[in-house]
Amino acid sequence: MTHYLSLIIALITASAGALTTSFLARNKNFSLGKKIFAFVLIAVFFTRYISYDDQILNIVSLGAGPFSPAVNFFAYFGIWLELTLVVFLILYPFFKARILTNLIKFVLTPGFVLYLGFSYYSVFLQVIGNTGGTLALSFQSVMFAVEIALVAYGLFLVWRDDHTLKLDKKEILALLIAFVPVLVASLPIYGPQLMFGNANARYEVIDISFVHRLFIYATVIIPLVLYFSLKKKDPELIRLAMIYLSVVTMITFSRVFYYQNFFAPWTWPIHLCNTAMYIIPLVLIFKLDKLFYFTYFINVFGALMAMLMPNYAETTNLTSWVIIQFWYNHSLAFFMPLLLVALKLFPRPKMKQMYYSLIAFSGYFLLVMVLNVWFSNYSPTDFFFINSDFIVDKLGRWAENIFNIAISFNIGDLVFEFHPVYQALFLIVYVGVSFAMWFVYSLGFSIADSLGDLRFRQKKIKLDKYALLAALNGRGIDEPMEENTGVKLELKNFSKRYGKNKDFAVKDASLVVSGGEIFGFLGPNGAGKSTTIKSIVGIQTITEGSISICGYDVEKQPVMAKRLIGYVPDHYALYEKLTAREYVNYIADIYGVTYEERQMRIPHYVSLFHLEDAFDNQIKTFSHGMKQKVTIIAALVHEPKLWLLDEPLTGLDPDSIYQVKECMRQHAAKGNIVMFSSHIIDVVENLCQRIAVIKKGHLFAPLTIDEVHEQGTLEEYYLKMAIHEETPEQKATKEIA
Amino acid sequence: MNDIKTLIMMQLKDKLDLGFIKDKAQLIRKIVFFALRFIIVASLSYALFYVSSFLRIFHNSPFIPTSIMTMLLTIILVISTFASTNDLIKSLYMAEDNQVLVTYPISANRIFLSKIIVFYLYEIYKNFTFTLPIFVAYGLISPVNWFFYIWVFLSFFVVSMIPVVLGVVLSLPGFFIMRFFNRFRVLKILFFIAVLAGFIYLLVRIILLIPSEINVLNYWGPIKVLLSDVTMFFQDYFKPVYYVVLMVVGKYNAAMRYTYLNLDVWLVFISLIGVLAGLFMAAYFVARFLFIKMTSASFEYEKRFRVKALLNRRLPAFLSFVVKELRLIFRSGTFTSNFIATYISIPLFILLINRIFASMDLYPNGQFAVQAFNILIIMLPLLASNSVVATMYSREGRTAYMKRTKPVVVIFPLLAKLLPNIVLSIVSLCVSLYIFNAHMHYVLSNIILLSIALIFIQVGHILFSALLDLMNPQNEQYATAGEQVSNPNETKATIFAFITAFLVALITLGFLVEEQFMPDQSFNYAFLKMLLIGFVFFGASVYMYIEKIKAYYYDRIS
Repeated sequence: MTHYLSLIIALITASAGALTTSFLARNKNFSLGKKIFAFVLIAVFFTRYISYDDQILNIVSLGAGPFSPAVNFFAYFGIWLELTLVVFLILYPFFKARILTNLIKFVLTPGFVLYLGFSYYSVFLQVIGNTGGTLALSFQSVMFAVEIALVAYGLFLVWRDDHTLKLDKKEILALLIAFVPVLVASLPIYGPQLMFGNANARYEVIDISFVHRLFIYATVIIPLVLYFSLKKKDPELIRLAMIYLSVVTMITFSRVFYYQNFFAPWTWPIHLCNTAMYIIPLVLIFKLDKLFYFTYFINVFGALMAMLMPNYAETTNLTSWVIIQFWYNHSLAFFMPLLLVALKLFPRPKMKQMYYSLIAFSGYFLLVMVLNVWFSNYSPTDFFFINSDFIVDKLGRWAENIFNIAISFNIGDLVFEFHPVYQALFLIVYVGVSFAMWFVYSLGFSIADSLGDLRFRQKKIKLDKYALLAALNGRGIDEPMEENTGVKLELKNFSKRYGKNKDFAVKDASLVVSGGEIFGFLGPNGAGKSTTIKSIVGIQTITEGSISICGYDVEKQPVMAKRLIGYVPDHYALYEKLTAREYVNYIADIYGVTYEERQMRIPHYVSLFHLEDAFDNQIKTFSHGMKQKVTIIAALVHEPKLWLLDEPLTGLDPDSIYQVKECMRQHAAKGNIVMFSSHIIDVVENLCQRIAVIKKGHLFAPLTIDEVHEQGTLEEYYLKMAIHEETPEQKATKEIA
Repeated sequence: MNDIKTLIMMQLKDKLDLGFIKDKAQLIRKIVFFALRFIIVASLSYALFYVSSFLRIFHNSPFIPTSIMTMLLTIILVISTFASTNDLIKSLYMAEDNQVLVTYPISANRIFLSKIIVFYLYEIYKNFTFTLPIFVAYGLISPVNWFFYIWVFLSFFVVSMIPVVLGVVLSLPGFFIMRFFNRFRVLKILFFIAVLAGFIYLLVRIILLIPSEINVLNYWGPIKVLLSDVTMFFQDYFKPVYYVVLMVVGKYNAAMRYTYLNLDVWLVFISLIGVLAGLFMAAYFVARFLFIKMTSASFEYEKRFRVKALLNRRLPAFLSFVVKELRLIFRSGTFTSNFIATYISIPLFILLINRIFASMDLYPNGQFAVQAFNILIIMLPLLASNSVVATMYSREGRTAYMKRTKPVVVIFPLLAKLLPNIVLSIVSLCVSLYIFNAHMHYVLSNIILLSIALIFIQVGHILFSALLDLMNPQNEQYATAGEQVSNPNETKATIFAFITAFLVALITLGFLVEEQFMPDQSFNYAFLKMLLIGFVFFGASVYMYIEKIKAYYYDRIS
């Protein structure tokens, strides 16, 4: 009765508070008040939480509790929901997230009603449990009543802000998705033993057994699930989720501690992994970068080792709170720091931060070393396992021998015993491993970056494909993007930049060359001739603009465009261990040249270039000129619409030069394009109908040879353009100067 | 003398990459690494000597007889002499730098001499990093006096001369044999196949000689006699090497100590120097004429044009890629050596270790460890050999760029390049697993599952290695420096190979050990799980290979 009386008083108090707030804050949003409320709730909740030794930890199944299993279940479920609600109400004033409000309104408010209904049993389970006795008016029960009053008031604040009952489909879906992980995170550590019992079949969660491995897999899978579900969300929502997860697990982890632990410092959670449970919420709430990197470099490895070699007894049951608390602690300590960096809540660390972390770790190490030997005078103490043979036992006799080297001295009545060699080695190994972790992290970052970049490019490829399909407007993918262009090479505002270079190798070049033309491409070394040609033939990508051949876009329809090109590079690039015939046939195979066509063309060119005696020998036995001739034959074997030659006459004998020039004339006469770059002005002047000069990546407007001759010889024109004429960039720079 | 010194320094810089000398930090690092290497080899040797001394393997007392050192030094000298001969043939008579060196105002004799000195210095470097630490370890375990630790260093300046001088002598006939084989390629191939087949046959016969039951304790007497016979064989039939060992460590006296106060030791020393000097002078006066002749010969490949024209042939594009790759690899030596070193030796190794283990009585966990070890022995060299794949595309130099100009989906020619390695390694893997199962007797379905799993891992690693090359191409380096490229992709692929091989062996062991407690002991789940892991690895590799080529291939400029 006393309990329900307290409850009624608590609800009346909450209602009075609510009415007062409503009156005072009629036209204000009351944000400061809500924040103050959150702090009050924190204070009351923690005071209540540590004010008793939770007896529910000793109840090993629903049937083993003081009430019927159904009542025990609802009472326990109420505790679980109320804990979740308290954390949500604390976070509510600080985050504007729709999902937070909806969860409070539609999941946790009904949960609170359930809790109220079973509150007597809930409080009883926690404070009295199976110890015998009755729930009398006490400090604990008063604190429960105050907390209930505050929670009720908190709910009022939430409903006051948003009292609509409507949810759209998206919100319902979000609620359904969020509901399960939210509750899983706040699962009290005694939940599994209460629900599934603790005394039945034993599964060893140790020594990499099957069940042990399942726990380890879960520790890897859970952060991945969290990462993929959160990575695209709003940063504030991610932070909210991570704060909720870290705070709620810190609370459940701390369930085994209560006020009497303050007076027994050897029971404090100072184990390295235990510290992570408090550090992680702190760094998230207060954005403490330096402290974060401590947990990032130091806790993660410690937690990993602990998960592989748990320190609970192998007889501990799978559902026991000991195991649940251990895995809550270590899996969180293991994955949270990594997850926080992956979700970009903290930037990737720098070497300097690792050094700071190692200094802090050394400080921690020395502290626990001293605390261990000091507290051991009162009770066996082994923070971080540096004061017992727990680890050396696993390593063998040699390690035990090292551990057994001890120094002991007395200060007053207190005995201080250290294991200096073991402890020094422990520190050195741990620091060494932290360095190794740096390389593991770096590798991880580089893999993550590479996958991110790949994803980005995959998206671009997809978009390009859609753009091509749109441009084709229902026509087949093998059709040219531009219809009925005839034989034509077109550069539209083509620009090329190498890698992350600021300067363009070619900038905004536009050009049209039509079938039947021999087109000369002139320019000094490094002007951009080869760059342009290599982009046309597909060796290099296009940074801006487009290039098309007979209507086929070189970038979007590369295979179709390349079928029309024959290319002779500036330095022969051949498979020297093939014979010339094998090589030319190989190229013909790639272009799908029929047997009849090659029987007609290959002998013709072989005879033209006088290669009859050498054609069936390995190319490595050829002279430079012979190799160049093979390259030319390979470029012409499929009768390309566009024959591109990059400085093709270098190294050829006069007879061969003549033959190549004849080939060019004949090829153009068939209605094809011949385009070549050269430094031999006379050849260009005699052979070409049109020419263009390129200088420092700028392509000057092409002229016919007749137009050139109006200004003088080609040589004079070339010198004028290549040396004296200024590019637009040069003009602009001059104007600015 | 200055000109010889300059020539030597120039060539040494090329051979040993001496750039670190000017950089203090690098110099210290090199010295530290050198010392570390020395210590590691010496420690390992000492450990082996200690074990054999402790178990009295070679002697009835803790003493390690000199015959052991004779055997070791013989093997080392034979290998070094072969290597030196081969390298000297290339360096003296076929090196392209001869064309440049002869243009300097130095006599050809001096160039010739400088080349030999460079080889000698390189041999000293090799001996100081490998052979010398073994001798130091021998000194530590044997009753030697303090003078040994000074003398052993000095004596190795003489010992290092042996393979170089023998190499100079042998390089003359070697050169003519090599030229003969280059002229008659069919004979070369036939000779090569005959030697290889003979070697494999011999090896298999030796392996099959291993008794079907080995009980070391019961048969220890005969085994010890056999070991003694083997080591004494070297001492008796390689007397000159035995005397060299005497010269290095001294002679065992009545007081059970090695001493240098013995005429034999110093006679050997003086004779060795005399013989080496004589041999060298003889070889020098003959070989330098050939050297001078070769430096003035044309370096263009000999043109032996085929007069009769062959026919043109048409093939489907993908088949054409494959045929081209086959032609290229079978016309190059790199692939052949890789092929022999890996694909043939793995089944032989598997046969050897299984013969040994089959004759031992093992506990169940020991059996599983042996099986995991088998997997390691198969996967380690197989995956490590894929480091060649990590250089394959780049080795094409600038020719590779032409692929981008062709109207094909670029994955096909790229994949065709890997096909010979994929096919041959799968054959090697299957043969190895067949031998493995002949000893392990798993049901056919299980061995098929294991084979597919390992094939997935092997092919996955080939694709991974190839991708390393595509993502960080070294074409320009290969185009300018030929084969002398320190390729980072090769290192990465090797490291990954080691990690993968060890993981695969470890996982196999874990699965097998775990499965032994299953009621039916069929090991189906263990092999199914292996298959699953292999499939995931393979799937990820294929996905990354295809997607990264699509996304990056045309953007990667070396």
